[in-house]
Order: sequence, then C-alpha cells, then structure tokens
Amino acid sequence: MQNWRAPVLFGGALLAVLMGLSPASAETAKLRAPVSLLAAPLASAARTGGAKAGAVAQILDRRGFWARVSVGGANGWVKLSALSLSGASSGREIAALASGRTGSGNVVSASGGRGLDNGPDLTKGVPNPAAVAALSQLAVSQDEAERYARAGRLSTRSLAYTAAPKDAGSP
Amino acid sequence: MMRPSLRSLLLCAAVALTAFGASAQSFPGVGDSRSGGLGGLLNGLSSFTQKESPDEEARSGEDIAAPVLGAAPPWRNPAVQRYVNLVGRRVADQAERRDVAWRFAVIDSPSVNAMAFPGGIIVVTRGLYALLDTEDELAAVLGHEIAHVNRKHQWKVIRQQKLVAMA
Repeated sequence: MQNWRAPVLFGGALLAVLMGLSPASAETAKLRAPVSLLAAPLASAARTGGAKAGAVAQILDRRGFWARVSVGGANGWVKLSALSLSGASSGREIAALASGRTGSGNVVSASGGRGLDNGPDLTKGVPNPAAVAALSQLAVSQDEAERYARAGRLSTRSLAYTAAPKDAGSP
Repeated sequence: MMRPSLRSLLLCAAVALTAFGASAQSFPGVGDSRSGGLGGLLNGLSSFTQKESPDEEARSGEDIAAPVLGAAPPWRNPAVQRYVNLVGRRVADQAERRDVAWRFAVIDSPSVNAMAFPGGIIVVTRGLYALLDTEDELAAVLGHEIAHVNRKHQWKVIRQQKLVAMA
C-alpha cells in the first residue's frame, strides 16, 4: 500500500503550482491548537515558526486545505482545520471559508461542481457514458475489501449519524 | 500498510454530516437544496410520491456522473484506483444500505473536490487525493460521500425538482 505515496507527493507538488492564485482574504481566525507555521502548503514543508492555541491569526491567502496566516509577527502556512473563524464570523466553521461561503465574494456556485479551490466546474464536461460504465471494472467485492481490512487488522465499531447542523451548506 | 489503529471506519459516519458538509460540494447539476420553506414543503411532499426504484436511482446517478467524467476522466493509475476502491468499499460496507453498487474513482483533475452520485458512484479528484496524508483522511472523505448516497441527499433533490417540473 506504499505505492500511492509517490503519486501523492507528485500531485501535491503539482497542486502547489496549479493552485497558486487563490483570492486573498482579510478574515481572521483563532488557532484551535498550537501549530507549526510552514514555509509552503505541504505537510512536509520546513517549519518557519509556531503559534499558541487561541492566538488570533490573520488569513493572508489560502490554497486548498491550507491557509497562509500572520500571527504574532510570524508568517506561514497552516491547515485550515487548525483554524476557527473569529470576530463577525464567529460560530461558523472554517469549512465555510474553504468553500468560499463567508462573504469574500467568491461564493461557490450551487452546482457543486467547483471544489475547494474554485477550479473549473466539473459538471460542464461532454458526457462520457463509456467512462461511467468502465467504473464497474474498478469496483471491488465485499470479500476483497474485507480481506484488505483484515490484513490491516481493522475492527468495526458502530456509530450513529451525527445531527446535521442547521446552517450546513450541502446536506 | 494500513495502521491498525485506524479510526477511519468510525469516522465515516461521524464526519459525514458535519465539517465536510460545507466543504466537499456534492450536488453537481441539481442545485442547492437549501430553498427555505418551499424546499421543506417539497421535501415533505416528495415522501408521498411513488416509491423510487434502486434502478431509477442508479440510472440517474450515471447520467449525472457522465459529464463529470467527460470533464475529468478516471486517473490512469490502476494502483490508486484499486486502493481507493478497497478503502471505499470497506467503509461503505459498514453503513446501512445493501442495494448499492459501489464504484469509486480518482478523477484526473487538479481541482480539490469529491462528489457522490445516486446509486453509489463516488469520485475524488486527483487534487484532493494529493492533499490527503493518511488512509484515515481518505476514509473520512469517502465516508462523507457514502453518507450522501445512503441518505439519498441528491436523489431527494432530483425528486423535488421533478415535482416542481410537474406542477
């Protein structure tokens, strides 16, 4: 199962290039936990500094799941999941920021075809029913999936659905 | 190899309707279901319409998926496609529906997105896949999308739109 790492690294590098032009945002956010500020929006990037939980950060830019922040005189990239929106946006999840719903003028279209990076609308392609049919060839059986899970010594525990928040974006 | 301590299967349902709800956009082509009072009314009405068949649900999902795969075909990386199907199918098999033909794919787009289609087609973009650090994260994303299918979120919107069209 190691063989998916290489494409991930390649994809990450490609993504960093392709997603370099996100709109800047003047939002502030509170850090949920102590974080390392990184030199690039990649988990493997060099550490440029750190900040304590609860510190208020100014969001300078964002790329995908990452935001470049200024906090306590330091600058760097953190994962959006480390941030909690503060001030006027308090109570709203950072996921809202990621999807552009927080009023910075780049509200994601209701079509859902645009992703976190407001890339091209994937629903606007020329229909390719052959590719859809071919998906069945990728599918695996319940047995295969179970054997895979057993090899990784996974166990199952039952959990109930959590309630959907009232102001959730897509249900 | 997978880490034995994975909580991925547990996360799938829990994450399903929370944080990712606002981020991973999952309703291509069917509009935003948050239509206030009218939406709620229609939602109620739709429960009185004829019982849908799994076949109809699956066909509709394939129709909606077709332009998405036209815009971004499955990534030519058999190892990744198999991996995503193994993890996805295992997560799906923990959930409540048994009448779904689960098909997972990483599609060749640098965009960061994941989508679910009625009938069990779930796609993750190469861009999103590249951002994942662990199998747990992959399982959480897939679990979110699986919940959309299982709870028929998109299918309900489609049926509402059909009702509007008939009115």
